Amino acid sequence: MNRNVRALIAPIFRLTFVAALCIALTIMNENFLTWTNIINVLRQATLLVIVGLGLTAVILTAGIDLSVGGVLALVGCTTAQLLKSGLPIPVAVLIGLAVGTAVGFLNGVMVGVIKLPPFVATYGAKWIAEGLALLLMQGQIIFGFPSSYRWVGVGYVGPIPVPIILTAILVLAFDFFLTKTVVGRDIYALGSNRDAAYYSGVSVCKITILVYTLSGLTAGIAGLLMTARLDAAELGMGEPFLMQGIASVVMGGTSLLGGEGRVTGTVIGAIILTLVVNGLNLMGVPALWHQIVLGAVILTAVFIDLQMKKWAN
Amino acid sequence: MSSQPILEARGIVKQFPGVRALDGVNFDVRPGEVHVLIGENGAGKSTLSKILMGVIAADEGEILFEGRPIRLRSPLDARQHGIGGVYQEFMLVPWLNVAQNIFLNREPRRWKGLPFVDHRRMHEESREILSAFGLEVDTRLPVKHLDTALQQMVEISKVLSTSPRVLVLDEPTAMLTDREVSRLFERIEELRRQGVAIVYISHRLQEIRKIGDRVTVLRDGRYVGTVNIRDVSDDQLVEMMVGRSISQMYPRSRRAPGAEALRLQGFSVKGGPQEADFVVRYGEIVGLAGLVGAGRTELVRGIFGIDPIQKGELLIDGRKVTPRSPNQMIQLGVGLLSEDRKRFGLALKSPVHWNTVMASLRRHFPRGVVRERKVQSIAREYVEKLRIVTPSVLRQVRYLSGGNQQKVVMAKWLDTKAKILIFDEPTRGIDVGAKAEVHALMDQLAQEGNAIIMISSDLPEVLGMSDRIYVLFQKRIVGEFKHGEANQEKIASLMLGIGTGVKTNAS
Amino acid sequence: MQVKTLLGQWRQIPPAIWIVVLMCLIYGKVAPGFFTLSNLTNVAMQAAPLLIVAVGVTTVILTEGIDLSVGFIMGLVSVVVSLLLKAGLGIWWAMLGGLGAGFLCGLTNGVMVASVGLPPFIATLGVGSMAYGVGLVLTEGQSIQALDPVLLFLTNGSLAGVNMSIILAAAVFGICWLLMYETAFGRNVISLGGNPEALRVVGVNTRRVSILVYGVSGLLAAVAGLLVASRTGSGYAAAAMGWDFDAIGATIIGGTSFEEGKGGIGKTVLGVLLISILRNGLNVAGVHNMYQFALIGLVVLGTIVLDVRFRQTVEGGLKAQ
Repeated sequence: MNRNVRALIAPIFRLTFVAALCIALTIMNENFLTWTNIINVLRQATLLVIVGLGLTAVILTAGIDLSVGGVLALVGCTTAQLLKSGLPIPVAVLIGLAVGTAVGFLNGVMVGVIKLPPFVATYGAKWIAEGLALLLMQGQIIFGFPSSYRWVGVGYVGPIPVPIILTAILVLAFDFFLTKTVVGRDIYALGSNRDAAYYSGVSVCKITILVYTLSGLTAGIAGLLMTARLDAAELGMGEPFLMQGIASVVMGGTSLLGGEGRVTGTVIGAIILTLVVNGLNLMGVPALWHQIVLGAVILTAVFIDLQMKKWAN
Repeated sequence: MSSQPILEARGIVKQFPGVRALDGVNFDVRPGEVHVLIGENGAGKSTLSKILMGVIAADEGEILFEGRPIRLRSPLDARQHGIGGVYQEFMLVPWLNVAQNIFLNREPRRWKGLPFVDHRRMHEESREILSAFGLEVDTRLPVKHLDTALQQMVEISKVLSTSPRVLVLDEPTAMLTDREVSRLFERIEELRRQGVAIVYISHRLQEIRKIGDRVTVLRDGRYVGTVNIRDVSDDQLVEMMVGRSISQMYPRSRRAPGAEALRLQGFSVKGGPQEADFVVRYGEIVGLAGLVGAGRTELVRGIFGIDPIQKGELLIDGRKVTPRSPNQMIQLGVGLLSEDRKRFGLALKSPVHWNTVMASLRRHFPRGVVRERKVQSIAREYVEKLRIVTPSVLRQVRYLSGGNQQKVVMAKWLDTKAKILIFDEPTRGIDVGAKAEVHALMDQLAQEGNAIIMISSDLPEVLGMSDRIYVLFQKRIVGEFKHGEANQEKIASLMLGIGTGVKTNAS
Repeated sequence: MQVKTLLGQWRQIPPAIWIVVLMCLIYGKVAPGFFTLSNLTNVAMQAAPLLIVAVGVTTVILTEGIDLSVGFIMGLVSVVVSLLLKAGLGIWWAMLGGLGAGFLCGLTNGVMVASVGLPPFIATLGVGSMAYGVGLVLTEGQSIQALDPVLLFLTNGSLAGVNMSIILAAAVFGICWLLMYETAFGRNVISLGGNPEALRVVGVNTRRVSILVYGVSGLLAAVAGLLVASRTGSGYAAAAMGWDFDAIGATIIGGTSFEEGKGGIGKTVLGVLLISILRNGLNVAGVHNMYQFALIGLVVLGTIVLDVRFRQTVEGGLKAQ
């Protein structure tokens, strides 16, 4: 029992951290605790959360996916070009997602079959994806999409924005998949001890390909949402997601060594990062400073998380 | 032999999570003697040697050097007192060359006061040190490229070149061939004459007789006693180690071997056994004896679809099967409890219940949706049935003792409902009580009609448990015995290649 | 070992060498200007800063770590130098300031990894992005001119007919070679990746070694940053985006692996050559800049894939997993 209580220390600490941030922001700025701003924060967090979902699955297998930002940009740009060229929305969206999934699948093959270190394979994929996006865009920005497409990014169902609903569904689906299905348990087993999982009949190769493919898919979905929301697609749109994505996962308590963690943690991690940015904006800190503050917050948060875990054991 | 101990340990206690590794152990060694430390696997020999070498710290007790209490906080502390040793773990750097490894962190300098290494002198001196063992090794080779015996000799040379006053050798001969063992013994004899105090850890009785003066026995982390080696018989030593005589140890209910479960014909595994012919029937335990490296583990890895098969056939229930992956073999009703439970058996940071169902999730939940409560209740059944000592099935397995961890692995394989079970060193590193329980369980499984293959380095265990025994020597099956036909001498001599017609080069 | 002798000598040549040869042949055919002395000098000049960063990254990878901050550090250093010049400091002080900034970033990486215990790539990514942020804040995201003659001399000048940047790279490489293979430091680096326990047992402070390795990597990135500032005549926070990929790629193509401290800085030269020839050849052949990005990624990744395959055959070590 005592041990179970201890296991809750880190998650409780994370939530306390969020609460403290909110209180601090409320005191510092009266605009923080307004419905509009709260919804705004959540909507901003959606992209990071979605990227973090696939990434969590990858990191649970003790892997890493450095290509998420590149894939996000590539999918955004591909879909944008296709929409511009007059393709029907569903076709453009499907092709875009297929591209993201394909890059993820290739990552999976490189890691699972060819056995490259995950970090090398996905870092290479990042540069290829960004290179392809560069080719597609020729240095331009594409903007002005049909409003039915933009609805996913800016629309509302009742008082709640569409992206938040979409993200909530995805989070629930991923959490169910990872914690309540046989394949999900295989992912945890693989991350806890790859050799033991293999000896126990887990298809190490297939599972590896699966998680990277999922990560490609979620990065792609985020890419679509982002183009829909900004009503624009550009080359550098994926850039912040690499570090912030990984940081959300790790800050959410998922261990980079694999086998430990949960997507609900990732959601909290993403919200913390978004709150920090939101706070900086509300306080009028110039955007150039955000990079420094975020770097510091991430390093500190990962450090605290490691300490919490050490202490809980 | 002088009478004053140079190094003495008193009342040493060391607690690891889940197991009391040492419990009030006394030990001392005098200049010019070889003091042997023996005990079964898990008795605490290596823990004690690590404490003497400053690698780990004791929880209680004191260490005296030349009668004065000292504190060993690090291996460097120990080295400054002239205590050096060979660890059981690999302590060489794979991609540094032989000379660099021997002189790690004490390289000769080219110019005084400047940090440049004098490679020429380093290689020359390394060659001298190695030739004292009659070894002609290219000192420019990375140690990664040496075979394990040579690596071990480099490791020993590295320690000896520091001229220690107390030398701790933890199973130094495990990887060595005959010739190297005799060279090592000559060196030990020489060092003893020079007045070096030597702590020698082993469980090979013959070896101990050759070089030992006194012997201290540990059992389950407790101090059993210290005797002069000439005053005791082998049987007495074994009884001190085990705590009872061998005949009472192995349960054998009446078994009735039935149909053929698994047959190998001319089975050859890459890097493993060649042309193996082998049969196991339902309801019997078949033992596989052989030295480490004889090809036992490779054989069962081949059967389980891990190592690629070169040629030959594998038949399960009379049907031909080509093993491709553990997954496939598990579906055919085969289970492999690996020799290295931490590496291949358990997810140490996962709780007991997820470990229990790691190989059988799909059987329990064919529709793909897992219910954790059911998993917990399955695990609870095994905890009860196998008497696994754990506060809860939610406990991470790394906190359990070795014996209980092994039982969790057994639970995992039992839960696959495999009919053919392969146990590779099932009782290695677990305490005597758990050992007996594992044996009883294997006996029961055989009686219930399962086919069991057991690999063990523990000859009494092989003799006591098996209905039939195959002996491997240098990747070949060189003999087969029925229970009752075999005795320790017959099997041991076959294991060593005596009377097999195969050329010997292993001890 | 036996497998190696069986496969014969020629099959032991790593695929990277074949690819370099192949590229030279293709470029020789497609781009007549490729095999001219001036172009080959060009290749070497382009290779110079990459070699300097890659050597640092190689030492980090030898310790089973990773350094993703080098590109950001290079950018920051170019900014620091330019700003110090603008503030009226002498060029030598400005360069010293730049080198100091790089070294400091590297040491911070080291402390984060070795003392604080963060995973290397989180630590270096975090520190790197902070360095980038500092560069952005200092310049407000603009490029700052730095047309000091001494600074420009690093790229344009020459000594005894050899371009300065080549001399600088050779000198840096020579010093690193001495450090790695003639002193205890190099042995510590290799041991830290190969078997840290063995190092600890003989009384080496492994934490200090680790911090120092990241420090060296930061310092070398700073030297490369000076070259970049010299080439562009400016300081810009984003001046060296993607250099970390090139440096890591060069290291791995060369044959340094993340396991057991295998490899060395000598091997990295090969990887640096491959990437530089590839890039230069694409330029000379007139391939548009936009295609280069993806092509280089593809070739680098392809070579690494081949290399992994190659090593698996040579070592015959197709073990269980």
